[in-house]
Amino acid sequence: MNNALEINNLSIHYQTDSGEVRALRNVNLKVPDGKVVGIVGESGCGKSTLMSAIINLLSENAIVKNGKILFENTDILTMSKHRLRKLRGYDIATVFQDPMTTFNPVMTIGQQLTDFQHRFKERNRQQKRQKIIEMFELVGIPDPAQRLNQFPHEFSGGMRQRMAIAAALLMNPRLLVADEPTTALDVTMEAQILHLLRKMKNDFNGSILIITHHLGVVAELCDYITVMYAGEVVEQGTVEDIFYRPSHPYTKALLECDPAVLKRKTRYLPTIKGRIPDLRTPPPGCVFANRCSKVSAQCTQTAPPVVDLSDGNHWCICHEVSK
Amino acid sequence: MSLNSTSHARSPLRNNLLVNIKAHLASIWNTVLQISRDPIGALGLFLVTTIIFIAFFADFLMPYDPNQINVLNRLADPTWEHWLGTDNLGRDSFSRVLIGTRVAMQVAIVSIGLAMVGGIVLGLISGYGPKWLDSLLVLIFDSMSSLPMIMFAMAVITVLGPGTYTLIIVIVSVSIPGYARMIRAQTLSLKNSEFILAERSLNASSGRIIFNHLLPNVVGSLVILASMDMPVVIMLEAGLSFLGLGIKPPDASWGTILNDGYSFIRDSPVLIIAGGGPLILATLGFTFLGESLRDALDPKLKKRGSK
Amino acid sequence: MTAFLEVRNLDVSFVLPRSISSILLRNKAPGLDVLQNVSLTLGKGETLGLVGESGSGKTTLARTITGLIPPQSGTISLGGRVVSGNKDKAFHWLRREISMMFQDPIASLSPRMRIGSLITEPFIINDISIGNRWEKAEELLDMVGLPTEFANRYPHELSGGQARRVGVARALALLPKIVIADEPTAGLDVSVQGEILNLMTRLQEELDLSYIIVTHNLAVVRHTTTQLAIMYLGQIVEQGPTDDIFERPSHPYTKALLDSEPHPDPAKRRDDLQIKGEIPSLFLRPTGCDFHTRCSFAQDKCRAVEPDFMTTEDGRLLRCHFPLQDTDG
Repeated sequence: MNNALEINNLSIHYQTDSGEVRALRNVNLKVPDGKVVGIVGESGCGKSTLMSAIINLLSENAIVKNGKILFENTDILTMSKHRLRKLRGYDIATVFQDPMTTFNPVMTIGQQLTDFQHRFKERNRQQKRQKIIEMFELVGIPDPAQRLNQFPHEFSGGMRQRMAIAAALLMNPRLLVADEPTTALDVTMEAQILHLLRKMKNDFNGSILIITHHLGVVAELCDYITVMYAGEVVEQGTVEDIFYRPSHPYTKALLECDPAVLKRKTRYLPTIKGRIPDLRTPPPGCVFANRCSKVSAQCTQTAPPVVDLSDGNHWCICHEVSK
Repeated sequence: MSLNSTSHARSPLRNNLLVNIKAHLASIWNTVLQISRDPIGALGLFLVTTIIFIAFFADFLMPYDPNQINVLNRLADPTWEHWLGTDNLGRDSFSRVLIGTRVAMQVAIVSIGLAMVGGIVLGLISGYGPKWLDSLLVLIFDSMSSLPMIMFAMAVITVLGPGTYTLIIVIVSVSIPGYARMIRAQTLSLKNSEFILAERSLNASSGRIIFNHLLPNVVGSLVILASMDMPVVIMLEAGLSFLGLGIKPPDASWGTILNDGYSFIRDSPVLIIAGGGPLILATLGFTFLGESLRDALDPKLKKRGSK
Repeated sequence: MTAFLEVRNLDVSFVLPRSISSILLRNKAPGLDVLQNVSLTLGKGETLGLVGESGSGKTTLARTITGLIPPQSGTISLGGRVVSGNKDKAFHWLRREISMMFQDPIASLSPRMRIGSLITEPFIINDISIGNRWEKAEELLDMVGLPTEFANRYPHELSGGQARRVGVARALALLPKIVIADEPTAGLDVSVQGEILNLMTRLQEELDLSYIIVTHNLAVVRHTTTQLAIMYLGQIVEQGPTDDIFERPSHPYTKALLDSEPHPDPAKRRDDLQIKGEIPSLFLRPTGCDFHTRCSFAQDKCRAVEPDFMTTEDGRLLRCHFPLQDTDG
């Protein structure tokens, strides 16, 4: 199977006044063609750095220490400006958390989405508008023809997120990257957007990468899941592997903490004790050692090995599991 | 309770106050350091400190009495006795420039200080007070700013007569609307913020909300605005004095020196330089300092500007 | 359940700006009804969850109960003492007994004050002598599980979870009887959200508090509340014991809300949608039942007649013409 996106051994540091922050360390990730991959992790796990790296929009103080992000066998990180411009929004489309910031507030939606299509020289103005209307109907925006003449502020948050998805799909991208697409929305709207993405998955023949902290969202949508903690991938597998056969203690703890997972009502919720380590000086051993309930002397001293749990499809890094 | 000294030293409020003062001094010192690292800011800081130093110690620095007339030695060129020569009445120009510096600083600092106090009070009342009072105050601010400034100044001077106090009154009343409007805008946006609501939910009185919570959050930007206003006010004072509407002639001011120089420009060009030079240096100094201060206090603005 | 806090028939409407012509014609200023006839009861030691989509009026209700928004009509009584009217003075007493935790933990702390001053401020404001202010601050920080050196920090130096703890300390400083928490878990990671909720539960037991938790996080509500009130467009549509409602939602909106929550279980993926569209604007309040525009069970009666409150056999309050009979209703 071909991969739409392949990340190999990616390490990214940030230069700050108080030292170098090692935000991502040796991240490996594959997004197979036509599949939905979810990246799950809490704040500080490196999700946003990874997201910016994929679209090559890292902040100025970021340093790529090593690694590659391969899209169609070309490294995004060393790509020419010209090729990048063609890549972003064309081959790789993005949907952000805050649908408010996606659109220019002083242009009508119709104008903006027509401009988005400027690379399709073969379409004339009328055809471009027609294409937008088709997309809007697909994502469930009522009266699309009238809506084209409205400004972004005239839409609700949910509607704007639908339009952002429509705009992304207008390009027929090979990869759709969605960063917390439902976090800013109500449950009812979240359910509708998830429903929409699920429907898209069948019609649209590209791959989707979803970055979120919400376990419910990945369970609803994804084929594969990558669990990140403190800048490292700690476990990777199919959605069933992660939810039914979690191996890494962090994955287990994360699943146990989610109040939606707990079957029985409880007055006191389970938590993960301790804090994420300081990424300026990450510990020599396992990054999760200071919060892990199964920690042994080995965990704090040597880096944990990669443990293959099913033919390279499901793996995690942990001393305890390797025993 | 024990009376030993350790418990006394740990007196929390005093402790807190000391920590506060220390922190404030440290943050002011940091700002100064940051300004001096920027070449433009360092130049501004140097010019402004020099000018303020001269204004303070003008009495000791002056070689002659600035109003001592010596008709025999009028319009003299610079010599070792008279560094900047003498004017049409034979008065020492250098001494007159020094005392003029004091006048300029007095007028500028006093009037901007008063305008800031007035702006803060009126702005807070307008922003936090009842709506009818806000409408009334905004109407007054708008009418004030719509008056042509020179016309207004001349009208006030005609009524009160020229002089330092009239000058201050004019500058204060012209500056207040701008300051007040800025404080009002900030108060309006802060008044519905969550932390003000949180204070209200704790039963905090309006006075407490205004003084402890709104005031500290609005003065910062006013200080920047006021420092940027210094050159404008210095120019205004010099301009009105030049026209004979500010400092009364026997007294020295950069404006009156310029006026004397202007009348005798064919006889001695030095006098124009004596009056104009310090004016240019002061204006530049305060502008540089103001801009550097703004960058130091609001780094976001600088980033946006440089991109 | 004996009512400790009782909110009766609360109406809140916001006055809209008037046009010049309406001022000249001396028309009454138009109002936007944000809360309509809201009644609530809360027993001592209970936790009530207030749930609904954004725009349902839950935050407005929370702020009205603490007197931050004056009600047009209705009464609030606490332990038998009734507060009514819309004068700020009347709420003075109430605000000492009911304290509020705000939604954004950092933005609700005055940015130029230190944590030590912020958490002891309630005493200063209400003229309560506490002796050594610093010791009191340390004691409060200790209570919410923060190191005492935090007293010297500024709000922007805290993480979301730490600021949330400061919010708890400030809310509990005066030992109130009721704490209203507006989205206490918003923006927190799952592992931290449990810590805050557990802290709140522990303090509830220690200090004999009653809570109102305003949230849209249903998973949290299921574990932490005993009573539940579901709001839609400024009205309470269903109220009753949390367990009963989760087991057998009676109002179609409640059911839709519960079904919308994504399950963290890949085997339970859904391919249908329980609810379509969004909460209507308050400017265009539907006729009849407010929910009929999105309700899959709506009939002609729902479009024409506004349903009244009714009490079901198991003591639940409900505002619906055709309540769901069973879970699969």
